Amino acid sequence: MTPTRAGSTSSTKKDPEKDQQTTTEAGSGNNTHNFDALPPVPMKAFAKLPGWKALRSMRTAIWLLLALAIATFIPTWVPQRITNQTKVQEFAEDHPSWFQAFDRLRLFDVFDSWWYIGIYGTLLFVLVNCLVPRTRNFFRQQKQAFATPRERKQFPSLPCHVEMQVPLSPEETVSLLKKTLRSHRFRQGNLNTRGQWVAEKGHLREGGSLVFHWSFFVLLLGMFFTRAFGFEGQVLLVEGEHWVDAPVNYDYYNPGRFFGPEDHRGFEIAHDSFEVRFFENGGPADFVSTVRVFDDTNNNAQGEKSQVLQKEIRVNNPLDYRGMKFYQISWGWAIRVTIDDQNGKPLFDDWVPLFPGGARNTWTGVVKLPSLSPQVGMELFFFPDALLLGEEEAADLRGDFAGGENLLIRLFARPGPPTIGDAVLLAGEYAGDLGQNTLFQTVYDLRTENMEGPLEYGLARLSNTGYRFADGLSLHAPEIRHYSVLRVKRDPGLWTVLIAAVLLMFGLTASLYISRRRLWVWVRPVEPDPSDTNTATAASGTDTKETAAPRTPPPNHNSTPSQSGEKPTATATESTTMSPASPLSQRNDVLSQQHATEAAAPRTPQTMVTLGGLAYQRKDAFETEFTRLVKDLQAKLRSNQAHGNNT
Amino acid sequence: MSLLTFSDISFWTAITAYSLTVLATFGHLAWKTKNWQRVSAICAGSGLTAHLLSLGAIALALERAPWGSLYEFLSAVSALLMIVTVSQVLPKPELTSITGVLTGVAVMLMGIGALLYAEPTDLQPALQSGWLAIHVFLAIVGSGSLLSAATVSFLYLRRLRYDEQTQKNLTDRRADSPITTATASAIPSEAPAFTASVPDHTFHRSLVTEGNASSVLLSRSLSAAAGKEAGTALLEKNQRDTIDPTKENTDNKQHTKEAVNAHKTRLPSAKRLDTLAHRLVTFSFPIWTLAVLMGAVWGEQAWGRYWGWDPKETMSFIIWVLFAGYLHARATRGWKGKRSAVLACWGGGAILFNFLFVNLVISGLHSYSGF
Repeated sequence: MTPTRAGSTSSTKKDPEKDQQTTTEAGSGNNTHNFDALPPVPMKAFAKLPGWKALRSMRTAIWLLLALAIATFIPTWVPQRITNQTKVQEFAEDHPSWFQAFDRLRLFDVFDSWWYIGIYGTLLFVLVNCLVPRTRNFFRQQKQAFATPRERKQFPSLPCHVEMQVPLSPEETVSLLKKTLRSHRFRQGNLNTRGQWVAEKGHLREGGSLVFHWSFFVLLLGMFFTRAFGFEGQVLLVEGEHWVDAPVNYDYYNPGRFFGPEDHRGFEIAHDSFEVRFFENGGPADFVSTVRVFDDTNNNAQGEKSQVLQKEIRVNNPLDYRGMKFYQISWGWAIRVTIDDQNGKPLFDDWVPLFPGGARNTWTGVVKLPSLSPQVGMELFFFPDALLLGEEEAADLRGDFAGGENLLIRLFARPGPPTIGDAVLLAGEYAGDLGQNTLFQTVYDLRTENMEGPLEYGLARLSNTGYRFADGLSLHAPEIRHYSVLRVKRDPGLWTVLIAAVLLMFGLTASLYISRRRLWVWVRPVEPDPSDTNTATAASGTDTKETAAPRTPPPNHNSTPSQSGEKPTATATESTTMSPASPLSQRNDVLSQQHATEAAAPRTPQTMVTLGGLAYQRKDAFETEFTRLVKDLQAKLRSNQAHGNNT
Repeated sequence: MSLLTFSDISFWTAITAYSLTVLATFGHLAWKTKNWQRVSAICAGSGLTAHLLSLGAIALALERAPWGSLYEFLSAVSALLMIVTVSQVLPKPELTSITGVLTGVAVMLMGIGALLYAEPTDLQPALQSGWLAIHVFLAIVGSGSLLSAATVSFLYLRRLRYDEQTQKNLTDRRADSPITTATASAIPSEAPAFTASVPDHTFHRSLVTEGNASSVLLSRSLSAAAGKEAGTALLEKNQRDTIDPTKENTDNKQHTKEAVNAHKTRLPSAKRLDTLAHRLVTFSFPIWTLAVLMGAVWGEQAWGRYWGWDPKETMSFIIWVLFAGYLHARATRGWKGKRSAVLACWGGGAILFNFLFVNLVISGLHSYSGF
């Protein structure tokens, strides 16, 4: 991911064209004006192993990125256990043989599979391999790039180039230049004995790129924290229920590897009410669970818990208490079902959560009576607002409640937002073996493989009439309430992930939008030229645009400062010479002469300033920036000169 | 008239205006007259105004961001595409062909949106958040501009292919042409190949009367012909590296074929297209990144996790990886140019797949009102 640093031959600066090309293209090499030039880092022994080079190359990284994209695409076609367990189950039932093969390839857990981890693991390895030397170079450059440049007799040819003569002493010029460059936010190094120094801007491009790439490791670290020390669960709370934070009280429980039962806080939550509101068009508008939290605030062991807060948990507005977060995930109806035996002895009295999506718009739930023999299970269908269909309308729905009475077949739950109207509970009775110890099931499932049924359908109206089954069981549904499903989470890695995301964003922006540019400055006294008697006073700034224009490669060999030093520039207050020399500079001279007649006491130029600039990116934008810089410099020089005259 | 009715009317006005823009662009490509360009600019401008009014009316009527359903989302994405087109591409006459293609993509997206039309309504609880404005807006800007970058990359590939074909024709003809062999025997150098290409200039001259751009072609091709002493090998190399206008219209016999392929020669140079695509990706990649990150922050707040490999999340990650690959490829020797453009096209395909397939077929947490 770095430009190859190998083969940095020391060029002899005799060939300025080659000099420039290597700089602009590779940004490395031991060129005289290239400040990246650092002594090569000795190769470690392992770096000579075959294949090591491939693990450092951008090409490998691109292939790996491509492989990552393709691998990530698989879950679009194959259901994943982490997002859709039921679909995986369906797939297993529909295509058992394919399921075996797919599962062996871990296609149902792509993101935890060895090959997915392999792809991004290799990618991260390549990344580290590139980042370590790059980071080392970056810091080395911060120290060494601004070291005093080597003394040079000739100015290197650079894409942007300007030369001017200044009627100030070299010392004044240097301080003025340094000040101006600082105001343009260039970082500057020290002068060497010939009055040369370097200035740089935009090193944050590389820095940003490094931050961006390293931030992925911070991100992974945060994710690791979450996985190791975090915890995730789900609870279903019926209105009025009190719930204590303990592992057994969760409906779904998935702790991290280092999250133990002792990490639970043990506080208590009372679910007071749940409210769902609808828009006029039937769409849901708001889900609110009102809860109170009770905690042992005094920290006395087995102490009484007192109410610490009351909160309305909404979607987009979770409860955050002592590092545990509670999110509103889902809601539904819970119906209180009582079942008595033929003697009137209560067998079952509990809240049964109902889930939407049953036949004919019903909500479904399950009652299990394992204490009976044979065991009895009941499949519940709840009609929040029952409709009685006509015989013909109901005819094609006949299969839903097979064996039911004529009346049942015609029942239908009113579509639209669920509101309690003529609420009816229908229970299909099964008898046999519930298979609680043999078949996989949750409390919300009824496995009827070893059961007979439905033997009979019983119909109970809410808080009204019950039903007595043929075997003597009587069913009542006295009450209905809402339940609310909350996701409970502790995520100790969240802040690390957030920091990583911020770093990533800053790094990315910096690495894409900042461009790196360098200036090379040379301030020296003007060599007197006795042969020249002309007075050429430059009207500074008149041709800055041309001056700062980029030179077209191949650069003119004649455009070295030594050559321009020989040009007739004797008594100029401040002259700018173009490189390469063109008719424009002559025109400038003419202009300057006109200007000189108007100028009050012109001062002899004492100092020659040469400024060269190079941008590594966005070269066109740099040309305008360079022009602006030069204009500003000239303005500063002029005002300084005026100031000097006044005093 | 209610605001929502006004919004619908503006939406259809915009589609009509955009379609006219596409037609006018073709007119401009065919006849190269200024008037056609003016017509396309007026159509695109008025269409965009109507389009923005349509989105604004939804926002006003329901007091929320106008991207609450898939219809509104696609409408907003195409509005963004058109903003990019009108501000960046349309003012440059030499990029007319791109205007046409981008507007075409916008019309297509709006058409799909119209098929999925759902009357704008109030939002579900999960969408009732300030993050809707931020996350979905960034997603719109990011995917819209990434899609335009992918489109430009696709045009770049077409242009490259055209350049390669004409190059191949040139070399084939050089081998077959009896004139070439005849003159080659007379003059012992590689020069005859260029003597054979002299008749071009008559064709070029006929173009001069039609437009300014072709006069540039003429002068450049003349200068290239003048420099024929430079030698075939060198010129061939140049042609492979840079796009040389001499490759167009190399023979009178080929005119019919070139008339068919004319729209490709009207494309900007490959280098120009490549630069444009790169600029667009550089602009939109951080925005897409931010959209994904903001989505994660919102997901943390609404669903209790910042990343859960929901189908939409998975797809946006794939898009991100592909364009990250593009940015890296463009700075790598051997991947620069063609291969990186192919990566960008894949990225564009992933965006379309995300819009259409993931939204409509796959259900996930993002599946609210068509999202």
